[in-house]
Amino acid sequence: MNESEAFPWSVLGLDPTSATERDVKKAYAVLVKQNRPDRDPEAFQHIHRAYESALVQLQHAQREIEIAPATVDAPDHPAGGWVQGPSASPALPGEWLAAESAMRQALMQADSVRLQQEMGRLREMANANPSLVPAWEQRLLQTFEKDFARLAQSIRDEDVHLMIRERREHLPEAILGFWHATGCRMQMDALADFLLGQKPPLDFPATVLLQARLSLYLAFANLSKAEQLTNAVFPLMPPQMRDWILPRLENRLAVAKIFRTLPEESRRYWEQTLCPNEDETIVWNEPELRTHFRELTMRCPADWPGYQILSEVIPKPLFNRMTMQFGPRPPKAPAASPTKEAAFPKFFIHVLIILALFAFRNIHSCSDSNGRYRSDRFPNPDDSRPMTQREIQDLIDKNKARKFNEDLLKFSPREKQ
Amino acid sequence: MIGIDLGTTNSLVAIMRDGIPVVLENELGETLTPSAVAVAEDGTVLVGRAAKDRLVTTPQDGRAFFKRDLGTDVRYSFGKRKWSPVECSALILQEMKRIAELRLGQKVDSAVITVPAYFHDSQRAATAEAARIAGLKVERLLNEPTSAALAYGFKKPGDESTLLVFDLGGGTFDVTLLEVFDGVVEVKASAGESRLGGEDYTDALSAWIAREYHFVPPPAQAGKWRNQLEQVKRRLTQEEKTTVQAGELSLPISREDFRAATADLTGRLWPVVRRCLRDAGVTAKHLSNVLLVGGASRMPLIFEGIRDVLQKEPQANLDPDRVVALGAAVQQALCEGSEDVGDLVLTDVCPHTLGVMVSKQLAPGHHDPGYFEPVIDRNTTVPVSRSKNFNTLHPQQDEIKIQVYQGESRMVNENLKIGEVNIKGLRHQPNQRRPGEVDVRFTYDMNGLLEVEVTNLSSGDKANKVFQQRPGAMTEAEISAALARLAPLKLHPRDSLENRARLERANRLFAELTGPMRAELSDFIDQFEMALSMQDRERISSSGGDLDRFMAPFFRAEEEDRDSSSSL
Repeated sequence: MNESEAFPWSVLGLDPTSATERDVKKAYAVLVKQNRPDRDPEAFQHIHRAYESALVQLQHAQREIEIAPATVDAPDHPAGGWVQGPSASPALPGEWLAAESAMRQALMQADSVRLQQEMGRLREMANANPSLVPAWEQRLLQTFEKDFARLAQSIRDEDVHLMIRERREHLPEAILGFWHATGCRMQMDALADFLLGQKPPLDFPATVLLQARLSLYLAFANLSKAEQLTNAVFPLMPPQMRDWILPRLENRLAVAKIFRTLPEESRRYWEQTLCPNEDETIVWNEPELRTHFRELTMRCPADWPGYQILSEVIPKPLFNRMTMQFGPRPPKAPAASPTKEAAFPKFFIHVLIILALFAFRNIHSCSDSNGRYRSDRFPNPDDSRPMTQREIQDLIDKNKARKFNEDLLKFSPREKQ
Repeated sequence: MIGIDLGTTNSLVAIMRDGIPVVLENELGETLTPSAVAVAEDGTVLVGRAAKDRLVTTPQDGRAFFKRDLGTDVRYSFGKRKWSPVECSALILQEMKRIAELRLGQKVDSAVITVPAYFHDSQRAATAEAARIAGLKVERLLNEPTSAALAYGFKKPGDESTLLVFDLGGGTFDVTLLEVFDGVVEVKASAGESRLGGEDYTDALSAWIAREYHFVPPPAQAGKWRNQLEQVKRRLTQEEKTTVQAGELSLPISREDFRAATADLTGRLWPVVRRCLRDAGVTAKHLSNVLLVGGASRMPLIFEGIRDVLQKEPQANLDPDRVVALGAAVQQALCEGSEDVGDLVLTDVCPHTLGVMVSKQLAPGHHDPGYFEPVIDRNTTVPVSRSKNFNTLHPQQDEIKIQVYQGESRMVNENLKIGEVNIKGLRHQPNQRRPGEVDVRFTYDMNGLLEVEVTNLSSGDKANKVFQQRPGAMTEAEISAALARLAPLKLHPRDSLENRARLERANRLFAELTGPMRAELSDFIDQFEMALSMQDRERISSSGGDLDRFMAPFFRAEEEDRDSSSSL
């Protein structure tokens, strides 16, 4: 941050409490005519930075005003796409309404055969007439709010694809969250194939975020596909969004790379332990941890970088107990097989080396030094980062979607422990 | 002094006259000079309309659409030698310079030249070289959509508006989003594709006919066939249905057919539009106006597509063929500080992300090379200067090779390498405060010139490089060699330019006619050529007039097409 960004108002000669966007533009226009970009590049850059920074601050202020009514609104205007569709939802055909109420009834009576039938009817209608897709998404979410697992079981992949193509993201996001929480790797793979197969790529803001999220979720399950998704989504992101999301994604990919040699079952365990969902605190189940840790030490030599990550995440006393008990095997011993007594000091040396290596905590060799193991939520943009109106809207929408995800956590197997 | 729009299909030259920008006409009374070069049997170099007409009958004698190859090392063979795209472009620029000198009655030595916004550095460098060979000093390389917006902003300086410029030319596609307020024209974002334009639509139509009607013209007819398809494309902007004469057959083609034939191309346009909006951080509802620029933007499917995608009626009251050249004239006046333009200010952005290659540490002690780390993000307002810090990978590492790339992919191998800078003396030494750390500063100026400066933060040593030397760029020596090679070229004598064009036109018609009409035309041509060889002015003008009268009915339809479409 430099001076003109920190104090844009004094550069522009305006009062931050009363200035409007119009004032900012007017002041900028006057200044920039005295310091034209082709004659005095330095001065121009100084003014331009102040101008951009002032606009961003105004946007933030604006956003605070807007957020309140936006959250009160029912989530029935799309706002996820670039096109403003017809703002009022189209009149729904009678047939549709009938199927809808039948579906609701079937759900209440827990009549799964009939539920399937009615959902099939709605699906056919939405397939035949994409303009019904928004209503369809919304009604499914509303109807199944309390029993999301049933929705996830009843819905088909093609339905999710259709919604994504029609720029609806709430339901696909929620379904994706459910798949992730319940370990439906096949479905996530299929979704990745669908997204990667789109030519030209689907580049609506909601879809871009969805792809980034899927990449995050697939990192442990299918690293190469997650890499492909990350590469595909990189050029689609506006630079601001890229700076904001990419470090998180790359961290996950890097960690996944370290754990990739493990069998699927234990990869899944470590994924859940290392990368918990939003705001979730890990409850350490020692017997379970012991089983997996033992398996780890059987497979991985002491110089395996994953230990370093574990030592950071697992509470210290617990981690020490684990290492005391199982001690990672030393690297392939040259001659005599090491005795237990010999293995211990060797192991401590390794721990020391690892601790020393911690000086280079940052995973990138570039200057950025984000911590490694955060939750999979993309960072909250409430920090001072400039955001566009668009991203702000996205986040508002996202917060709406979050509600569903929180409900979803109830179905996560870990919750049952 | 002048503004030049160097287009894929046509080029124009414009100046400021009495405070308003105007496009200059050539001797044939046309403002659009085809960007084509050809060499006649006698070694005469033809430029413009004459060359374009000649290419219809003998495509091997010259070249058009060379703008698409600028910045590559492609060479064309015609007229017994090899030509680079830069040399061909230089001939066009020379022609533009000549037209301007003719109309102004004074020497012209500098120009603003427009380039597609999405042109990358080597393409820009190639354009600048062409200008130098043509004897023009480049005042500014101006982005085409920005130029169009400048012409618009000049017309309505008071309005506060957010504009989207949709520029689909003969060979390139650009989308630019701008704000105009209080005499400031500010570009917010540009996106584009450098090989997508009207010519691709003609190719797609040709491929569609080959598929649907199994008609492929014999190679000798290819030039003529392309010309016919060009006419079909134009007719379809006016009519729902038309036909094309393929040998004996008359094939019907409707707008719907054309839309289906080119659906893939059209599908590539909208992601670019969305990206531009996304980068600028605005939605379609913020737009106050959509400007259509470039001849290919006249196609009704573009108009309808924009209405669907942006929910906005595009503006068509500026002539899409001329608006870029007009803007270049305005920019020229700005560069001169002329009073005509008042205190209008223009700011532009760099369209591509610029960065360096880095290795990322994926596990302690293990690094993967080949990642792209952006330093200047795309759509940052220029001029701009940004820096980032980087480390050596190992305490014993003494040297870093900073490899500079341009592009949008996460891995460098999919981006374009611009060059590299080396810095030494980074091995860790005791008592250093920031051992092995360097600061890499990128400075990007208004003409798209990039300077990279690397500072060793522990010693304060610096290394820097200005990337004028782009891949495929020419050295001083090469430019003077190119000048020397072009100098002895026998360009057609100026006073016979009109005659030359007339003759090429007649030859083109000759190839199209059959039977007695052809014999009759042949007689007229012979008469005219005889007059030319005798250099008898009176006979030239009378036989030329006869020839024109004979040809007029055949070209009327084509001219009507051209006129009606350009007055849209």
